[in-house]
Amino acid sequence: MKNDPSPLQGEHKKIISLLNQLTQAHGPSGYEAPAARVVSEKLKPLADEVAIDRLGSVVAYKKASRPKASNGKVLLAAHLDEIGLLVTSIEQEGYLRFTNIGGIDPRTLLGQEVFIHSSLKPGKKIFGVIGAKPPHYQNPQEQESMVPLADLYIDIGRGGAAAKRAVAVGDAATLRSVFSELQGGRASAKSLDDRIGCAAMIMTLEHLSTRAHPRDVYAVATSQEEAGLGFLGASTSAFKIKPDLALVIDVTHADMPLAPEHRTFSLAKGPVIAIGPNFHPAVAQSLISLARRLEMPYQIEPLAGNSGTDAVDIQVTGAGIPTGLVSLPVRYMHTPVETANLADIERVARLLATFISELDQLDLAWKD
Amino acid sequence: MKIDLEFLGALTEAPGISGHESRVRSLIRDKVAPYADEVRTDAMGNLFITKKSKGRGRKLRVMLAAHMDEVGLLITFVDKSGYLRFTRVGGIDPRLLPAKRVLVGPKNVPGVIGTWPVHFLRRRTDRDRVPSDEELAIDIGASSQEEAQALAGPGDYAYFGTKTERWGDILKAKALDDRLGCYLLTELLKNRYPFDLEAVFTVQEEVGLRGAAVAAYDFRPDLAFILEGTGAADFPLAQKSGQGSTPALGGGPVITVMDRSVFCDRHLVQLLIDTSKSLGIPYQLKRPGIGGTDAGRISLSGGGVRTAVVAVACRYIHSPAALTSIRDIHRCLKLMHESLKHLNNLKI
Repeated sequence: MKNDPSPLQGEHKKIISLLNQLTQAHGPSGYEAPAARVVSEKLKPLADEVAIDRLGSVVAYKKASRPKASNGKVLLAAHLDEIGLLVTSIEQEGYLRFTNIGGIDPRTLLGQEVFIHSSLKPGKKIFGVIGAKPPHYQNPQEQESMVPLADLYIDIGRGGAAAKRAVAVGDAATLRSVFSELQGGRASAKSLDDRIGCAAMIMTLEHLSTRAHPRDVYAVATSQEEAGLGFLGASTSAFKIKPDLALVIDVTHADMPLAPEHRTFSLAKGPVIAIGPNFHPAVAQSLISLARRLEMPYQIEPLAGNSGTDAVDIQVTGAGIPTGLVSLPVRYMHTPVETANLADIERVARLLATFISELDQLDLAWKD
Repeated sequence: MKIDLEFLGALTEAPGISGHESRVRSLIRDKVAPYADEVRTDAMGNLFITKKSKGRGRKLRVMLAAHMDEVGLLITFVDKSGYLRFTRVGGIDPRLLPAKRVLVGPKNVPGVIGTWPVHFLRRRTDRDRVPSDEELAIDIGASSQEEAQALAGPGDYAYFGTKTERWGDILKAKALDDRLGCYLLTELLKNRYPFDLEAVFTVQEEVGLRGAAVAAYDFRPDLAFILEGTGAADFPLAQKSGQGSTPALGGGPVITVMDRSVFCDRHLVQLLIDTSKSLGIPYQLKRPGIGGTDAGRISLSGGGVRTAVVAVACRYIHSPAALTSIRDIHRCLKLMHESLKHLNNLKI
């Protein structure tokens, strides 16, 4: 793919810094405010208007560069929230019991550090660890099965009274994880699902600031995707905006040790374009043709039904919205060490920006 | 005495997997050299600091020991895809490994231990299954064996890259077992006591108390004190197994009577208890029969050595993030200093 420029020359440092800031921000489903602040700041210079809507999604509006009466609207969506923990009780000794917000994997929690979203001391940095019993106190069988979620707890290093002054039942917690730049243009962080999509969306708007685009663009960092209640932020934002077309940016599974080849995608081999009932075939096919024309590598993800992304609800919002999904491969999804390749972000942004700037030519008519 | 959190932070953040203690050793050597009478490193890597007695009188040979090494991982193989395979060094619970961040080798190459996403688990029982070492690998982002081998290879160590932080009275760090002991020892070395003191920063405690064995043989002490960061048991997972809740974080110095490696000398234990009482410092006795320390080997050295262990209680030792109480570090320091001052009065 000789015409696909290596996106990491010059862009590298910028992408690293953007992704670092986005993933270090904390924002579990329903408690997205801290992450929303960071995303808003990044979107403001690129949009005509940025606001936070009723369910906590960040909505950036960028006016069409060639305004006509019927030019329509396009929705770009990447979810803002991340998986997390919810404090369910505070024990007499100050330990916090919790349940999961979204698809937390209890196998990955032991020995992790957490950040508490304290409602009693907002803005205060209250940290904790999910304590692990040392081998010295274990009986020989203990290491043969994982510790169930119900037995785990957060230790914030405060006794009962002090803990209750700092944390309330119903406060959320998120895992802390240092952003690491790995070899080969890869990076590892928490919440790459889906802050990497937010990064791609921000960079798409950046491209659009130097390109003509025929439609109004609404770039939405959607709330409450992970909680398992449906795709709440996306469906309400889409309902309010009533776009003519929606493009969702999310993550999919990348190859990793022992994972079956046929269920994963390669890092740095280009955007993953989804095909299936959840997507308008003309949108999917146009994305594929465009990738070919740009001589950009791409991968195809056939999804038989529910894609598990914002596209599920956006597609059936109002009278129905033609929807497409472009994903970035991420290793070790839903762990604090999610790993991705930076080149994929730039490619997704370039693909989507070009697509949006050429929307005049998109034919959504059914060919039958 | 103010706790030097900057030095303690550097000590706890430094890598020192058993057999790879060199970074810790050089930090300690640089720190104590200005007030040491003699500094040497033996064939195994134990660091000996001599501090001669002040004045004349009874010349006891007293050994103070703390171990420099910590539990961690050792790279065994770089596979075709560029993943690093590893084995565990010392007592690391394999359930701690999934989804952790590590640093590999002297170049501190960042890596992650990934895990199959929860989405791929089909049966309920998959969630209870502990991944075997064969299923886990360190991902440094390399896409080939060659790319990975240029940065790390078999024999390199990997360690949890935990940042040390202070949360009020709490200190969160990796390797509190036993950089806390190392820290206490560097502080005590600033003083001169009425006996010849040999401070030994030992190697390979976590893989069988190996450094201490040769160090004690070499120095032939009359008495030895071992300084430790020991496992607290005042948290729900430990209490669940019906083992009580001692030692507790913030409960004062932990004095060992007996563990799996040693019976401590009753006179020394009594001295520590009496000194605690006279200082008004709370103390706690370590729950007998759990764990072992360098005391096990030192006490059996030569014709036998009277030995005691003083430790700071830490929750979650041998994990990436342990917690301890800064107040307890103070108390241990005070207790040790005062006990050493009066050691010559001991009637044995």
